[in-house]
Amino acid sequence: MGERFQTEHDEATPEMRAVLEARAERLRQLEVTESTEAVTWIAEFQVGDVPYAVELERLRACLPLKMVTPVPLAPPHVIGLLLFQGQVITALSLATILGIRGWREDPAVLLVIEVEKGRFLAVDSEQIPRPRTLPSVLIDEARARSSGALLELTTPELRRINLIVANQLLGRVITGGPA
Amino acid sequence: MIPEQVMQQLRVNFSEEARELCAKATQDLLTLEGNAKPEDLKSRYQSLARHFHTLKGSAATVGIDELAALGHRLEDALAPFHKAQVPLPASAIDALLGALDLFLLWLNAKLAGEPLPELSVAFARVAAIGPAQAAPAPAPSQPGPAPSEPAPAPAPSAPEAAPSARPDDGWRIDTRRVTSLAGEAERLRELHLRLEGRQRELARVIEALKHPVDGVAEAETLLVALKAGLVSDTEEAGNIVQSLEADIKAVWTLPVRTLTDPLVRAVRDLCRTSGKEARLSVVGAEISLDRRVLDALKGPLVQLVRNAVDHGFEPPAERMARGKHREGSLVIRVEQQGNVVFLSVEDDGGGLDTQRIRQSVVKMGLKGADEVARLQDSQVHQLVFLSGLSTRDAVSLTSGRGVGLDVVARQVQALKGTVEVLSTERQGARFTLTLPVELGSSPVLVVRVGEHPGGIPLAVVEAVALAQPRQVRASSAGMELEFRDQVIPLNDLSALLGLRQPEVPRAGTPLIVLQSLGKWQALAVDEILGDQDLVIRSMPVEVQALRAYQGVSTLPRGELLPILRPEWLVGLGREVSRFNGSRRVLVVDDSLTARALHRAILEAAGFSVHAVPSGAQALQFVQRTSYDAIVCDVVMEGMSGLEFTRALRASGARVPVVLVSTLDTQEARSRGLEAGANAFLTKHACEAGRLVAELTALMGQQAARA
Repeated sequence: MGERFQTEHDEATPEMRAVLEARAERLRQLEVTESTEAVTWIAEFQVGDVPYAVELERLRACLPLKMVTPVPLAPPHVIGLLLFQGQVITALSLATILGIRGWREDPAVLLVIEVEKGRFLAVDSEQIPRPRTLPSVLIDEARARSSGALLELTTPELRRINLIVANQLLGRVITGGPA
Repeated sequence: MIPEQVMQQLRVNFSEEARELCAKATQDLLTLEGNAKPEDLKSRYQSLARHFHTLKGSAATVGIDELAALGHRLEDALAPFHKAQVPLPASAIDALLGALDLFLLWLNAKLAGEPLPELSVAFARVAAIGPAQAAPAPAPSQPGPAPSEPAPAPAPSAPEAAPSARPDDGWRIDTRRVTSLAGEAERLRELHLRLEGRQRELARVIEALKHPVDGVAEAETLLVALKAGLVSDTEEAGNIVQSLEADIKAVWTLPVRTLTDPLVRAVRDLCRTSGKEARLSVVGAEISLDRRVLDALKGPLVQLVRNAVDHGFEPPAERMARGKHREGSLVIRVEQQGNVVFLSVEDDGGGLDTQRIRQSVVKMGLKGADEVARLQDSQVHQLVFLSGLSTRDAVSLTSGRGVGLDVVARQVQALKGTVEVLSTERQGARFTLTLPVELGSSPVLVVRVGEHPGGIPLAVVEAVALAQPRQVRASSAGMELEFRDQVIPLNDLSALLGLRQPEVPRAGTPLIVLQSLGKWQALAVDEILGDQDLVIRSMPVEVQALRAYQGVSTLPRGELLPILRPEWLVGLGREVSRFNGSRRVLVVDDSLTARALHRAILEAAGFSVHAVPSGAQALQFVQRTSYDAIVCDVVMEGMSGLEFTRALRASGARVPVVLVSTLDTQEARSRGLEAGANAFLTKHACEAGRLVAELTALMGQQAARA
């Protein structure tokens, strides 16, 4: 690298330094607090106006829609087929399976989800999901309340979100689509 | 003195040899039974004598004196007939076959350390074989008295008595195959080393390109040489793959005849038990199938054969009274089309007793009387696969327990196959098993219909031609093609796939003529792209129920190619088109997922839908097909929704148009309506009810104006 660039911090006043130090100390304390609570990583995305998520460990890839080969005469919830890691897998319309409530953008991303060990499905999404964490206890409580394909959760920010249970989703697909 | 461990291994090897020898001896015996031609007798007797002699000698070699003694008795029993060169009578055949069955049973029990069956029965029956005398002449083909009682029950037929392969029995493989596989592994290793060398050459190219002045010329020289090398490597890799495929196929597979040959004896024994007469013939026995599939098919095939003899064939006198030959014909047909095998068992007996099946199903509580009464005969026939169904009042040796065809159905389904029955009263029945097989590549004809490529197994393609108007006949009943002195049905493949309404092929339209399961069909396609050798894999489980497809292949550049199912193409199991007249909608959107969403909404509401990816294509569709409404995206590549609507209106078409957009502004709405659209919806508002309500209202208005 060439010359060292000047930054604001190089010229911080003692007062500013004190403020920055205090903030850093608070953040360090926050990290300590968060690390004691078990969290689950999820990938969050919208289907129309409704937020959904899948467990991040189930999300294997985000692929462009152009990889799909349509299959004429397939039922409407089947968008087509694609090749993933040497396997031919099915691409599904998530909105059709969950119940269409309008959409903001035409889904253009495929999310490849591992529904069972070694078995994959792709679902379409309007956007690339955003990874975030949720306290694992929320997910455990939701599982205890329901055994269906969708677990309704309330995040710490008091937002409602639907967590898709991947292997349950498979059961719904085989029975033919919309809820 | 041979160590016991070595002796045990020798005995295991002997059991495999004995199984083969007994199978061959069985074939010889069946040929010698009564109907052998004089010129065949000598060779058959010589062959049979050799087999008995080898069984005796090999048993002695591995120290199994009991079996060596039995082999000796078999030789002695055969000798007088061999010398006299006369056919073997049925009673002698029964005794010899029974002895062979016991030979194998005893041997397997010995090796497994299980209780040994009594060999004295076999010795006694063989000893009771009388002196050589001419077998009775074949029965004349005229009505004659039926036998007053069935012949004495023969020994259990081979497929029952012969031990089935245990899971750890392993396979016998020709050592030449193993040598060949080892050779291919060596070639692959060499190819790998060469490709590593190519990598180093490529690194030199990259290095050379870092020097713009001298490096380019050097890089070019290196690249030319590298290209030539890679071309040769690719060809070598292709040869190795082909060779590997052939060798692995040879190891994995066996001819179907290994499964069907023992059934000849089974039919014979069943007929002896029941007093009926029947002959089994096999077509396609030379086809090779995965050994595991053959193993799994053994049970179903035996059951179907038993079923044919017990339920299907009439007694000889009854057959002759009906004008049939006294001897029934049982035909097993095996045909492979791409990655699907069709195996049918067809008899010319009395066919299924439809009325009796109806009564039995109701009597056994399997279905309600009203439900059964509503079924057509062909649907009633499929009920024979229900568990617990038996139309036999008394339990017979071979059937009547209600545990037979349902087991067949379950075993076939476990192989991801299907079974169905076709029956004609008093004429016969045919059971057809359809099974997927995934082994090796097969030639596929690649075609294009609309924007969709598809594959058709080349095995069913009889001809490819260009349509000539004088050969094509179109009527309200459909289209036909004059082809080689026959008239065959003609269909538009795009229409069959639900992509558009059927069109009469114009001059020069590519036509493909198919034949599958005895049915002919001509198909019009948009383009023939060529033929390739492709590996056909099963469709994923989520779409396996689609009857139109046999599987899917991967093209060289990684694209997927759905492979169409031949029997669906010729019309078997094909449903009537959904595009059947009422509330027809054309969806125009360049997004695959948006088209899927619109289809889902509209088809759930009972609309018939065609979907196209562009305005230009939509204009072509509208010219040829009448639609009740059009749903069109606004923002599309090429022709936008607004441009499409203006062009549509300029052509005079008054069909209602609903524009759908992600834009939610008054300006977008106004522009859409000015272009000639009847309604404007945002995609966000495109909930199922809203779009359907909008379309229904527009169609109602259109109808009122008409």
